[in-house]
Amino acid sequence: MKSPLFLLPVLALAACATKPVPPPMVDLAAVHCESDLALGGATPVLFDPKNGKMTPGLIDGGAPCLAEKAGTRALYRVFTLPAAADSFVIDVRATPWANTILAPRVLMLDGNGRETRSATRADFTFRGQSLSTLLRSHDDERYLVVLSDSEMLGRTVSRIVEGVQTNMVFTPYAAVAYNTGTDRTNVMTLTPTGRVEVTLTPIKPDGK
Amino acid sequence: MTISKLAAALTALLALSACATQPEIPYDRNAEQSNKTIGLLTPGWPSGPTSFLASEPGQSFGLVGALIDAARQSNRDKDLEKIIAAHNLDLRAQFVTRLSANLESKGYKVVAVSADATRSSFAKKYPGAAEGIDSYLDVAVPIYGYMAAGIGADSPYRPWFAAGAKLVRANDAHVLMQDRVVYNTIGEAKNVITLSPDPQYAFPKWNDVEAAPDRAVAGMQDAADKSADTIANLLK
Repeated sequence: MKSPLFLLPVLALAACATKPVPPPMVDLAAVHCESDLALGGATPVLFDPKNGKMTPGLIDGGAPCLAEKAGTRALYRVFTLPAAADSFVIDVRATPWANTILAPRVLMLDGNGRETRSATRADFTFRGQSLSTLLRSHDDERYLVVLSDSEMLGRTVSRIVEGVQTNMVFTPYAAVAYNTGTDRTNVMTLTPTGRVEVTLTPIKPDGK
Repeated sequence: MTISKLAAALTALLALSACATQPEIPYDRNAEQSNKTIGLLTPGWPSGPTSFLASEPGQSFGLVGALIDAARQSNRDKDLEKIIAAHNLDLRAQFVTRLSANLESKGYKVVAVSADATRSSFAKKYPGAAEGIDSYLDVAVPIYGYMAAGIGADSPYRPWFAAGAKLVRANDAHVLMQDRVVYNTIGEAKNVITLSPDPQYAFPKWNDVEAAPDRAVAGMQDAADKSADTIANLLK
């Protein structure tokens, strides 16, 4: 019998193999949901009156779930907005998480939890690789709720991403830098879970 | 396009992209219900198209390499100019028509306002209050054409289009909206609206653009149309 050492390269290859990524969660049928939003435990959004400030958030499998009147279900996370004297821009972003991204929408609520306005999928655009919507602050709004969009779950978005990287080659006489370009297609599945960023940026009085 | 013209265009593009300090300001239509008539300034537009290879081989070889790159760049730009001329394409007129029609479909009245068409960034001054105009929409397009990240079939030439858009109130130039749109970005553009290029307009080599001029023109039209629609949607 041959030595088992011949198996070593195979084992080494197996160790290097990419671990299979589990399929993204897109079905909320088994998740317990409530018919009202739970506003307790909301995350305060950071605000700096001079500069933009980002507050991260995560909607994962343990996030609260809303059973909506239309019969749909949505995971969500609640943020509280500052009672700032100045106007500010609210940037709500869903950022990629492996090969998935939250299918986002936003509800804005007043201090009594009443809905004042919303941002739906038509209001979100890609900025870089994130899905983003921008809103101007309204004085009467105290809560910002980021929810999953049940109609978009499981769909994929495909994005072509171009890049350039600089490489160096060292010789005994000189170092030479050269650039190489990359062109790849990112495919992301829209899911009810994902990373969220809420950034508040003050607007100067002249609007600039 | 000469080195200096390309440098100016790229500088303007950088000003529109991630390096820009001008913040994005969303439009709040509910708060601006009196804004019904938009004066659309003649868009700032480059003198010609650009065909940009982001990783030219000559970049590694100093001034001589840069001159060779510039010559190749210039030849590609001329090829694109010839294709556009042969198709009688007025991309700026098409862009303005598309943008105006989209804004009108959203309930605005759009009035053309003459402005310096050679500017590569936003206007320094606005005409001021004028009868029947509630706001001015300032659009600057520093660059359009084709761009490839690298040489080789795996990084093809794809349509490229960049625009900045700014809406100011007519009577006091207060900024009501400001944003940037780039169709086919290169590198990280975290704060810019990024439109992914349509995969059907991919040309592995520059010769492929010359061999399929109809599709090359359609690619540029697609980039301009989608950018115009995106700008109009910022005012919905």
